[in-house]
Amino acid sequence: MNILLGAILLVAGILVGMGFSRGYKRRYLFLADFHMFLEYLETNFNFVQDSLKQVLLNRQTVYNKDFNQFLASLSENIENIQPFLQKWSKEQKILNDEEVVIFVKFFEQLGRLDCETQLESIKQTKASLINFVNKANETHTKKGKLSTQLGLMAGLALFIIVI
Amino acid sequence: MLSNILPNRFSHSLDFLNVDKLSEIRLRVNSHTVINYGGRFYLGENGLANDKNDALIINEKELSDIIFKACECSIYAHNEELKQGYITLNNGVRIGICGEVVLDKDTVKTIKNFSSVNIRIPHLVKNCSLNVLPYLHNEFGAMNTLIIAPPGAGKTTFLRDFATLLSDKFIAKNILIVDERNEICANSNGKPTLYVGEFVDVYSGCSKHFGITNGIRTMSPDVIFLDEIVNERDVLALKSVVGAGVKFVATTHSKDLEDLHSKFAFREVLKEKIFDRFVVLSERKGAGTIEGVWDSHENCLYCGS
Repeated sequence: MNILLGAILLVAGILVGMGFSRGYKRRYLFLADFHMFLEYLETNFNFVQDSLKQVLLNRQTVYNKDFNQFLASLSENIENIQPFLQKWSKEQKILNDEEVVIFVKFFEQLGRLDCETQLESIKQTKASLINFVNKANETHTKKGKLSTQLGLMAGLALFIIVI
Repeated sequence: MLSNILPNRFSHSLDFLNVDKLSEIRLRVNSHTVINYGGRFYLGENGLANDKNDALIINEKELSDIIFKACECSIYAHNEELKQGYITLNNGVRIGICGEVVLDKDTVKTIKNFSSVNIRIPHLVKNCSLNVLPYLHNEFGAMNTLIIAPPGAGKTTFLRDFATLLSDKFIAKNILIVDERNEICANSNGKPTLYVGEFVDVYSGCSKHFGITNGIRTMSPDVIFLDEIVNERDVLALKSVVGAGVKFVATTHSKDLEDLHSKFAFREVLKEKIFDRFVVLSERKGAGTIEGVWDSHENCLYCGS
């Protein structure tokens, strides 16, 4: 009986650790996808200038789940974006407050500016974003591994205590 | 037709009207909405409003949203049109825009802080040019024709119908339409959404100069149709058509022939008599009223009743 309980606690510890690690990974992937999306927009606006709806339609295969889901919702709410962004920024659990500000500010203006200003907005957002992407990557690499290991160790400790 | 760009209360109101009669909607921030519905009327909550106080009033955000939606939520992709003060929708509806013009030295960069829009709805009026058709062509085909009318009097509708009749009645003639503002054919994905005849080639969204130069070189047209000749550059484009031995049909904003003579851009070409025919339209009995047809010596050949 104690062995079974210990095993359950071990698994729980590992899962909690992996959960934290996954959170760091999601944040990094989301920011990296956003950066990739900005690069795509920059190229598109410099040359073909597809409509925003077309740009969002072409997204499916490229991005990870979270960012892809965001773009899908954005595509549905593109004509009335402010209430959507407000709701999204309150409900989301991926980005921190500082990152949300940059994110929301960019999407509030997307499609509402002339080409030159829109390209400038992309450039500025990319410049601000790159630090966050690097930090998120660093956090993901360091803390992600650490969280998994800590989870495993806590689980093992509990397992030993119980048996 | 307009429900995807107008605020709900406006499109709801238009549901009470016959869109075929509606030719213009004028929206100004914090002002009463006026429409052209066979005459000027206020637009109320449920169609026409008898009293000015019952007319719908648009606010700044709603007006800005109209333009945003008309640009398919992509102002950056429509900046070239915006710079010229208009956007054309896929169905040929043209939205004229007023606001704060942003200049970079002498060049217009864009328009911002929109203050008013003029939504013009195109109509196909079948055979509206039929009565005067015999005066506008001879055994060799169409003659160089200038259609003269004030804004909103049906120039583009007349031009479209004339192109259709020429195309469908004289199949041997190749017609090229240079549709700078995409109003004549309302091209969507390269195909006309308004019928302009079967044997018609269309350049849309390009300058008259580009359309004419490339069109003559590559499409060998017999007749070129152009809308809104307004300045010397456009007149020069017309002269290049004549120089290439191709006929043209064009429109211009003027009240009548006398008014046309007062326009600097036309002085030279009127002396050179490059126009074989002048058609004058007015709104006297509603848009598209044909006042008459004149020859190059300005003798009246047809008088509208």
